[in-house]
Amino acid sequence: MTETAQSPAEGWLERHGDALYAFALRRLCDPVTVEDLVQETLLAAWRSHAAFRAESTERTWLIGILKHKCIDEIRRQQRSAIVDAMGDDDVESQVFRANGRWREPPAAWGGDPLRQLENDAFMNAVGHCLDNVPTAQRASFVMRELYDQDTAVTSEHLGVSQNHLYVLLHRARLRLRRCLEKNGFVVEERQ
Amino acid sequence: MMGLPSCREVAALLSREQDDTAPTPRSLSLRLHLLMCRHCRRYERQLTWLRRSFIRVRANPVAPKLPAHTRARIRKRLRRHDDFHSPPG
Repeated sequence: MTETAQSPAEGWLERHGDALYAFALRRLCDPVTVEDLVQETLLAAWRSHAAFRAESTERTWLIGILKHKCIDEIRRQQRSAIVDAMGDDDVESQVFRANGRWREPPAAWGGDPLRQLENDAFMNAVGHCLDNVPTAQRASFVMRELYDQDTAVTSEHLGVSQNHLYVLLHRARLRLRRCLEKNGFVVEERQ
Repeated sequence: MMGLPSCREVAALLSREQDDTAPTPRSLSLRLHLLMCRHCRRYERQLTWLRRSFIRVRANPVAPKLPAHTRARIRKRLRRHDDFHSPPG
């Protein structure tokens, strides 16, 4: 068996594999899915090789393909779940009393929490906390905060109205904030 | 706090400010509530902190590496098409 010349896709894997993996991993928080998406991206890039334009760098081009694949994946996961009805999630009645005041007021966080943590520790905590967030809320939140999509794009992708999206994002934030705090993640030093 | 929005309503408004591309100016009643309520002020700070953290995560170039066994598996998959010297169909 003769050694064939390296295909362009193998070259991309060598040069950009880590960057692609990191991009998707910190936006999906699921390593297995991420590995598949990296592979699919390289195959798709190879198929559409001719579409590559020199004005973008190779890496930017590949990350663009990967980003679409990731968003499709989020959409797929979200669509396969039953979209949470507006009244389905009771996080607000857990967090607030009947009179509308905080039942669980936010605890004080550290002086400069941005300095408290390395990104990876932060994303591990976020990933862990998002696991317990209902699917539609999680998908909305990931699209918005990790893919930096605006609400018009996000609501279109997820097939929900903008007003429904605001509610989903709000509930996701209440849950995430509470979970990060419960995990001792950002509690201020005792005075 | 008669006539002012409740904490529950304020939290929803603060979240919405994070998402509105053109947020409406804050109403007097919202500003008054925030002046008087340290819990909601704290919630507001924490939302801002989360937003900043995600911006930092998106921008940070330091990253986990593709595991070696995955790299090998993908390479194998890409090689399968080498016999044809052309991309997979």
